[in-house]
Amino acid sequence: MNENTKLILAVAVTAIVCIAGTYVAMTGSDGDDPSGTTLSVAGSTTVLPLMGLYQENYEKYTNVTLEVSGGGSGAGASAVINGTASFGMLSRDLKGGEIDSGLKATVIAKDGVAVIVGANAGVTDLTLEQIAKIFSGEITNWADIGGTSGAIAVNIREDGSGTRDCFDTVMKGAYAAYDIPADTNEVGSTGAMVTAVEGNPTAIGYISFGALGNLTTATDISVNGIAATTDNVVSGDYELQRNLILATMGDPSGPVLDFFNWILGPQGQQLAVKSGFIAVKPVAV
Amino acid sequence: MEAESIRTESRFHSDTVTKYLLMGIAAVAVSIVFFIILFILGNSIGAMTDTGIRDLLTGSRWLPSKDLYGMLPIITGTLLVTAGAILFAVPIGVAAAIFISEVAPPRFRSVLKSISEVFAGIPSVIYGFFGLTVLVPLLRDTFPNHLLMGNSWLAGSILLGIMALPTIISVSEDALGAVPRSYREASMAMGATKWETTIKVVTPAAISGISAAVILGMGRAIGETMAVMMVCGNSAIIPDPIFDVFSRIRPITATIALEMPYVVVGSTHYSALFFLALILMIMVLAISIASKSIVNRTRKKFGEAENRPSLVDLMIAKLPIRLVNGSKSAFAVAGLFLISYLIAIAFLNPFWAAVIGISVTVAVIASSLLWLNSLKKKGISVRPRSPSEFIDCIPIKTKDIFRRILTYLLMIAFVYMGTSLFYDGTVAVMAGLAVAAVYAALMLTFRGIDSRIIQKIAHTVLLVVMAFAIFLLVYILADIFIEGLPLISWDFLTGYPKDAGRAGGIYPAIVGTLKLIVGSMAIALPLGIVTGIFLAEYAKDTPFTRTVRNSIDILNGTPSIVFGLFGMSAFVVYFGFGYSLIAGCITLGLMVLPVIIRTTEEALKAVPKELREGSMAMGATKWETTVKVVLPAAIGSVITGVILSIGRVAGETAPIMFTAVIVYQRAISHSILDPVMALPYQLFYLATEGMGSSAMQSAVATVLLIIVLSMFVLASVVRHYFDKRIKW
Repeated sequence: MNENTKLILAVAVTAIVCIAGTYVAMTGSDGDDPSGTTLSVAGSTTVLPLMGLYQENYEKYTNVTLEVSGGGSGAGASAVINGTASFGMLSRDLKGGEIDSGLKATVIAKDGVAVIVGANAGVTDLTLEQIAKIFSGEITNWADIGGTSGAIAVNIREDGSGTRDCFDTVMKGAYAAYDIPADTNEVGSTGAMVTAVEGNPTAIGYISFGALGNLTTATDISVNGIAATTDNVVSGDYELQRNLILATMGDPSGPVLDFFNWILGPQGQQLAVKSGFIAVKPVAV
Repeated sequence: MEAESIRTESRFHSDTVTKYLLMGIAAVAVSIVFFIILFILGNSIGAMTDTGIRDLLTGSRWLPSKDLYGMLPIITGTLLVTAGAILFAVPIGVAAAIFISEVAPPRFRSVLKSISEVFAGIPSVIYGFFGLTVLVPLLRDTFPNHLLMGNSWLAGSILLGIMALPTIISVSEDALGAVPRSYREASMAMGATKWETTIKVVTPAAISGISAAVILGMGRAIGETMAVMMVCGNSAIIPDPIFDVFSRIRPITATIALEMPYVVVGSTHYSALFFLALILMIMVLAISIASKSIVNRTRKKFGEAENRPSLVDLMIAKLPIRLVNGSKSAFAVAGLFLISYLIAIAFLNPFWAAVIGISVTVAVIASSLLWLNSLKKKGISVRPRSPSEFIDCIPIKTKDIFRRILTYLLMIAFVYMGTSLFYDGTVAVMAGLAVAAVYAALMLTFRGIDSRIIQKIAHTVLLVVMAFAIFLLVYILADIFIEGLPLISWDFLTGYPKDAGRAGGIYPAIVGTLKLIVGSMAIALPLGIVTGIFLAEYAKDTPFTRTVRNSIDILNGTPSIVFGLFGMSAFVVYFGFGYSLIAGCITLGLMVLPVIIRTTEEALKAVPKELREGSMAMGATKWETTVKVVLPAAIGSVITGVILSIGRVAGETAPIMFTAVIVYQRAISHSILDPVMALPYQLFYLATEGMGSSAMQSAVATVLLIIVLSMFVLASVVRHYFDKRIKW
């Protein structure tokens, strides 16, 4: 093959690759509509699966696309303040500083925080004070509180987690000396917490009710004799509960408002219930 | 006639224009470094004024929600995890390098080198995934009483050690290969065996290069983010005792990556993270300067000096010699105090540790002065002016004794530290003494054994170490492929994700990765190749050129997380692109720019000057020569560099984490201002979430690995093809 032929071949191959690449980039959009709106969402890993469900169902009859990332409730609030998200998901109420920055909350569901333990813990019920002491490092063996002997492996969520915020607030209320040791194992999301507690039979942790369906060997325990069920959250008996909110800069408007209205409508609320949360508006039957 | 001469003149005028144009483009590299430093410095000022530098650096509690920004545990975390990584990687790496360079049959040398290059090309998120799914459970099962969760300093160091191995192996191997053959031949001529030559002649001769390798490996470990974040436990504490490898730990890189998602732009927390990045940059810079001056010293020793003094040498040459010697002595005294203080603080509280530190330093200085005095009485007059001169004065026998005492002390110390994690203090001390005794006994017995048998033993040990390194690599790859391949189907590759990204297909992630590759190459290639051309063909040794080269070296050593931080503050926030493809592409492009520049420059330099001279002799201008003669001749290596950069871009997570990615997208958007899904971040998200089956995680990892590894294979094929075509 002489040089010219090689050159032509190289150009042809490059051209084919470029055309193929452009084809790949241009096509294959499952429901993509150039005239549709894109909303970006970030925040709580508790709300994330629910947002996924919302996305699949909402997009069926609108042309709104959602771009979702996690990061935790703190990340959700910051993303809206920083302008990198249209709205944020939080599994707690807005803090003072966030309200001062202009955020407004829309409550979409209520959720409980379940305390989960590993397969070998051997307890099914603990008081709030016992739990607080475990997380403060004062109780270190399951045998001390009526379980099977074994060192308790404590797991907490990261600093910006809404789930942690709820847990810490209730614990602090129940036990004044509640103080988490600096070397406690920290995980970064609901899913990571499930992995951590499932992976270690003597572990303890806390997750949203919505994630209870993912447990296989780990179990949730009742707190002060109250079981972790949605009915107990509705009645107010189960203390570890919080609001799931969507935060916007100022009041929601336009496509965001439409989306929020749909979420608070019967269909949206039904999806929340299906995910293990508690509805705040009437649910479709 | 006239028309011809005018035409010739204007062509050569355009050559000058071209030169300045190229200088302008090369200056872009300098300005990028300038901007990175500007953004990082600028954004960290908030923390420095709010909390004060002293509190930031020495505070011992990092709790942003309570406005506590003590960075001491985090900085210590980086130092400790790097130290552990080096302890793990240096013996294995240097042994493997010695094996490849001295013991292995020449046929296998290139195969083994390629294997270690593959190690280097595996993305760090894959190492992190391996660490999370295999290493951490393994450690937890091996040490159930100490590792409740498996995440620990030990896990982080082992993983970082594996990642630093390729750097250490390749640079050490180069250093060993650079030792002249005459050294080996002279030694063998005197009757030494190959092993004795290797260990007593070649390795000491290459020690500078090996130290450079270790230092470069340290640089790699310090800047590593994803892998270490996934396995370290991420508690911002200082282990107690300080050598407790089972403790959780948090280095600087993990802190930045974990907390950046939820900081508010402009807050003190935001600024504190930038301050951490600043410290990281300073560490990396120090390492880069150190390694360059060592490498230069090696080159001078073996006669390959390039007449390019390093920054440090230049600075030192300008100072009066008294000042230099004085400061060297001051450093030596300070270093002595610091080392004894750090060793003491592992066992005692700070006050007593300081007392010990001061006593040791004073004792050493006093005894040296007394000894110098006694020499004077014997009539030997020596006036050492600096620590190195002082060391030269000590007779060899004494130095040997000191060396032996030091070896035994270190041995006892390490055994003590390791054993005391499991048993109490006295048992640990006994263990330390016992190991030292065993070592001494072994040394005595070995003296009597035939040197050929020692050689066989040594070579076998090296072979085992090499095999272990290869086994690690194969295991990591196999583990991922075996679990992931079954899940890979046409639907998986072309389908869309379901269930918030935890099931379904990964088509948007593949497309996103492809887009990032194309975009970053579009930015890095023109800039990089042109700057490479400038450096190879047009640059003279002026301050401007040296600035350009130094800037490129700085860019090359900058950790990927710092690029991510810069990309976020510059493109996402300051320029207002938001989380977008364009922000990610620019960030990634800047990250691989130094690689492209360097490969282009080396490729062009490898073209013999006869080609250029022939072309100029026929009347071509410099630019015409470069573009039509030199560049085509060098195109093979340039393409190889490009392909390797593509592999790097495909696998990097940290630069895109804060600039371009999301985890769930039901349709591919066409705007460059929209974020994308990408394979490495998808893997990270799935693995740390723990949701989506582990098979799905392995499948994503497999796809990523296939893309990256095929880039490698492609690069080797291209290199091979063009090597064959070389006609000189």
